[in-house]
Amino acid sequence: MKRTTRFLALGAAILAMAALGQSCMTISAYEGAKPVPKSAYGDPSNSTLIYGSTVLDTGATLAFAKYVPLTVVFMQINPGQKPAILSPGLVGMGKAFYLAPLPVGSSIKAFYQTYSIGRTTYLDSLGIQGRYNIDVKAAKPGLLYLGSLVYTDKDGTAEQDFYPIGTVKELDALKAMLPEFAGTAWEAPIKDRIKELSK
Amino acid sequence: MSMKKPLSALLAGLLVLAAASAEPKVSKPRSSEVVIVFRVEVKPDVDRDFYSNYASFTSPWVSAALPRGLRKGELPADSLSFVWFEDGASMGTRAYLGPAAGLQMVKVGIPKNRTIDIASLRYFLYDNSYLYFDLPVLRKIVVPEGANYVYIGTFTYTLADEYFRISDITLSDEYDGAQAQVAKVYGESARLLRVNLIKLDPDQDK
Repeated sequence: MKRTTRFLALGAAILAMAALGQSCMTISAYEGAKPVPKSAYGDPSNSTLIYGSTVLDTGATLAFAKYVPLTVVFMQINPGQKPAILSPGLVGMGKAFYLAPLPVGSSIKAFYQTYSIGRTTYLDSLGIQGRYNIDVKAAKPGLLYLGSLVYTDKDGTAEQDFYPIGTVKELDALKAMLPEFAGTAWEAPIKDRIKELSK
Repeated sequence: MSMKKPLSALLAGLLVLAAASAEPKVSKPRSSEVVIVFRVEVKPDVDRDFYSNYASFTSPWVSAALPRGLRKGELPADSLSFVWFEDGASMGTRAYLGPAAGLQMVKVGIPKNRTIDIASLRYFLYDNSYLYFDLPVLRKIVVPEGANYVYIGTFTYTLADEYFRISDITLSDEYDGAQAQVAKVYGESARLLRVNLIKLDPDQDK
C-alpha cells in the first residue's frame, strides 16, 4: 500500500530550489545537508555510480500549470553500510540525475520527492515500505543506469511506482553528467559508455 | 487513488497530540462514542539502532522541533496512527494514537449504522513522519447497542524483508489484560465487549 503525504511548503529556500530546477544550472549531489565534493567520490573499482532521470506523472494538473520535477531523495537502508540521506545531483537542465558514488553493497530507497506546479512546491512523502523500481542495490562496482523513470499509476491501480517509460536517453544523461565527473576516476568509464552507446 | 493529506491535517494532529499530552486524564466516551481497544506487534524487531540514524530527519523545509517531553539526544518512541471510515463513506479519518507499544484505546464517534471500517494502521519509527510503513487491517466492526468499549484483539504483523513488506498477520486474544487496563483508565464501570472483525470487500477502494 503506497500512501503519500503531500504538503505545500513556502519560503525563500523553496523558491530558490524551484528556480534552480527550472534554470540551466547544475545542482551537485548531496549527502544529508552537505554537497558531496568530487574529492570524496568513491572509486569505480569499489563503488557504484547510480544515474537516470525521473519525472512525476501529474496527469490533469499539467493542463493548467507548468510542472517541474525537482528531486527524489533516497535513504541508504543496508544496516551493514553507512547510513546516509542522498539527494541527487541534477544535470542537463534538471533532466537527468546522479547520486554521489556509493560503496558497493549499499541499498537505496526513495522516501520522498519534490516537484513544483506553478508557484507551489510539493513534497510527497513515500514512506519506507515497499520496493519501488528505483530502489536498487549497488551490487557491482561501476555505472548503474536506472532508466528514465516516471512516477505514475501505470495501469489504473492504486499502486504508484517509478516506471521506465520516460523520454530521457541514457546517452543524454551521460553527456550531461560528464562535466561533473571531469578530472575524477569516473571520467573514463563514463566516456567509455558514451562511446559504446554512440556506436 | 492515493491518499494526499495536507500539512494542515498533520499540524492539526500534532495540536491534538499536544493537547492530549497536556491533559493526562481521559474523558469517558459519551453514549454516541465507542473506544476501540487493541494492541499491535511487529515482528521481527526492526533494526532500530540503524534507523536511529534517521530518527531526527526532517525535510529541509520543516523545522526540527523536539517532540514534547524529550531532552536533546533522547529519541521518541515509535508511534501509530489509525485510519477508519464510517461504513460506506469515501473519506476516512486518520487518528494519531501516540506510542505504538502497549494497549491502544481509540475513541471514535459511532456512525448511524454502528459500523466502522478499519482500513489500516500506520507505524512511525521514532515518531518520525517520514519513517512510516502501513499495517493493513481491512476489517469492519459493528458496535453492539449500548456498548462503549469494544475489544478487537492483538494484531501481530510479520515483516518479510528490509522493505517492510508484510508476510503474515495473526490475531490473538488478550482480553483479560485489556479489560483490566480499560478499567484502570476509564473506571471500574467500563465494560469491554469482544466484537468480531468482519472482512471488508477487498475490491472496495480504500
